[in-house]
Amino acid sequence: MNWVGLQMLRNDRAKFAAMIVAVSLAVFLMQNQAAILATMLSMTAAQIRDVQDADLWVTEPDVECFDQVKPMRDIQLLRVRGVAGIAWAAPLLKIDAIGRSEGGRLNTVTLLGIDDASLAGLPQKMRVGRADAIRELDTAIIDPGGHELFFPGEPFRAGRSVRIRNRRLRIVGVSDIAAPFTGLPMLHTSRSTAAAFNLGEQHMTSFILARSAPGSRPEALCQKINTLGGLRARTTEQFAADAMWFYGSQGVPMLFMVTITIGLIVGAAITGQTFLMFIKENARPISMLKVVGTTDRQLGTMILLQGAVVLALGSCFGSGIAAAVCNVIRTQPFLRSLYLPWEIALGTCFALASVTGIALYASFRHVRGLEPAAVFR
Amino acid sequence: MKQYLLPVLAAGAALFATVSVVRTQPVREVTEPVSPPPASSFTDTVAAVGLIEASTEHISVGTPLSGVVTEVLVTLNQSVRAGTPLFRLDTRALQASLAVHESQLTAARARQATAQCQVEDLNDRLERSLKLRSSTVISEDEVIRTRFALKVSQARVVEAQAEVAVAEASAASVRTEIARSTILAPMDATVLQLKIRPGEFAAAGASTAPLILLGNLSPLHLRVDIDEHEAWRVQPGTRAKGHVRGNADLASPLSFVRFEPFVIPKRSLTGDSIERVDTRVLQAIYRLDRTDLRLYAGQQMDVFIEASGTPTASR
Repeated sequence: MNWVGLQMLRNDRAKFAAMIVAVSLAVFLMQNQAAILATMLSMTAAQIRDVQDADLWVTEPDVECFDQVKPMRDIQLLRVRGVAGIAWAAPLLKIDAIGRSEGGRLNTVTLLGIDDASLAGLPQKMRVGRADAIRELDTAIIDPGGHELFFPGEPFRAGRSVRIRNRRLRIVGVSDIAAPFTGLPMLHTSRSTAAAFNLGEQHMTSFILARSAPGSRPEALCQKINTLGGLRARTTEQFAADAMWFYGSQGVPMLFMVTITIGLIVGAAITGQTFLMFIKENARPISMLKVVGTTDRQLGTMILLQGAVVLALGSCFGSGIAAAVCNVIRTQPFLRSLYLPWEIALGTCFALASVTGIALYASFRHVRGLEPAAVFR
Repeated sequence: MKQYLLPVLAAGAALFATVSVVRTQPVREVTEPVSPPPASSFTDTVAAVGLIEASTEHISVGTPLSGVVTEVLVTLNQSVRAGTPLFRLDTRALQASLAVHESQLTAARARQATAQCQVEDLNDRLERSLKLRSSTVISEDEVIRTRFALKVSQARVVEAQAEVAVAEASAASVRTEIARSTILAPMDATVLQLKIRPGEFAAAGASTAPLILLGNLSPLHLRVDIDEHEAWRVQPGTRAKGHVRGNADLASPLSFVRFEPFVIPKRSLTGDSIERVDTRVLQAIYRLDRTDLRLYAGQQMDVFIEASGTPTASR
């Protein structure tokens, strides 16, 4: 019985192809846009999540994301260190400055000053060189996007320099951190080196990174630090979520949501309509099946199978295309962080399936209403 | 066979998509910093930053006289006893002045001798004129004049003696100045900084840059800045531990020495030329108990002090 249904699909090549293409394109469009949206949002939290040494971030109370810097008094670090249950705490300094490459290219750069003593917050993955080389005076490591901005088209290598405020920072490596949302070059350097560029600013701490001691819950520690007053502690994921919410509520993601919804509606509409047409055009053979005693239940299973085959094939091709496009885009230094969360990959397929399900139900109702006599029409 | 082409292609595409999605998921795993920051070994703790210093504190040796340095008699890191000469200033002008004063002394002594001779001469004359007066060879008037002349010359002797004393004192004063041109160590200590070299000018008076910095390095002390908000939690005599910057595994137990009774504005120890006021801090002095660590005066340490009570809201 079901085999008959599959043959029915195969033999109506035009509609079969149209449905697969519709599902593929809808899945591709949704996955692609969702990937861009997810990547954009995760970029706003990338610098937070990239610090894998720490599980707590302590900031001034009104800081919402990584790009908002409110300098903290140095003594705050000691107050955090004094909290029972904190394994360690280290300062992180973030400043913006104007950098200038040997070739004369100007760029605003983000300088991250890593605690000299512990190097907590150092990038874990490197493309070129060793991260702990920044212990040396006036050295920094740059991210791939920054390298591309300062030295366009040149292969990644260490040994170049960037001049900031009349001081030469020697680039000793290229990190493999996630691309920042701002698109600015990210230079990791030691806090003492970065402090030299922090002109006119009294305090040398932007964030405090902390790690909970084994056996103490990070959330409980956050509570404890918050009661100290003047400080706000969050777990890495809370802070990342706050940062994503901060940017996410600013409109641009809404536009992406619109595109994704359009993809869903258009894909489902074309698929559904084509499927309905396919069923209607095959009304005669279906009523023939009814004549030979096929039950509505068997016909329903057949339609479900036909729909499932179309959706499965389309989803597979669509996901494949989306993955291929994603892989091509990722080769660009600025877009290196593009990724599709697996939840969204599956979710788009299911979303399309459930919307298309309405069309399948409509088709089933049509089939159920068929008189066996329709075979003579 | 042809009928399986589409499903196989689709399966291939799905496989590619799966591998690609899985491969590009960001990996986040907990890592350790290159050299983990220090961690407290006490349940309740006050964290602070300390600065290593000599147990005598740092003595910035000054000079009582301004002048060009001719000789530096100690080397860096040398242990000196109290009274050891540290450096000498140029004393040529003083030596010349001493020569003048000594010649003046000689002259004064000569004058004193002359005056003395005159007294003797007049004494002799008076005796003889008294004898001659009895035989009425000379007049009474002549005797009286001789007597007055004697008195005058006796007064001259006293004057000459005073002049000798003045000349002696002047010479002694110059000798003192010469002695003061050699600067001596005020106590047993180690030379921590040597910022003066022969030929350089050493100015008298307070200076921000010490000429020579002295201090006693055994034992070393740690000057710990405790935030005023946390000061109430620190009891004298509780346990404390100092961690070496850059290698938190190296730590020394600390023994409490004293609190500085006056709470001062904290300077943020950025190593900047302008140190900035951050908050007010209570300074506690601790002694570093471990002597096998390579520690230096002026170095910073991360300190954890065993505390009583838990921190509360403050700002």
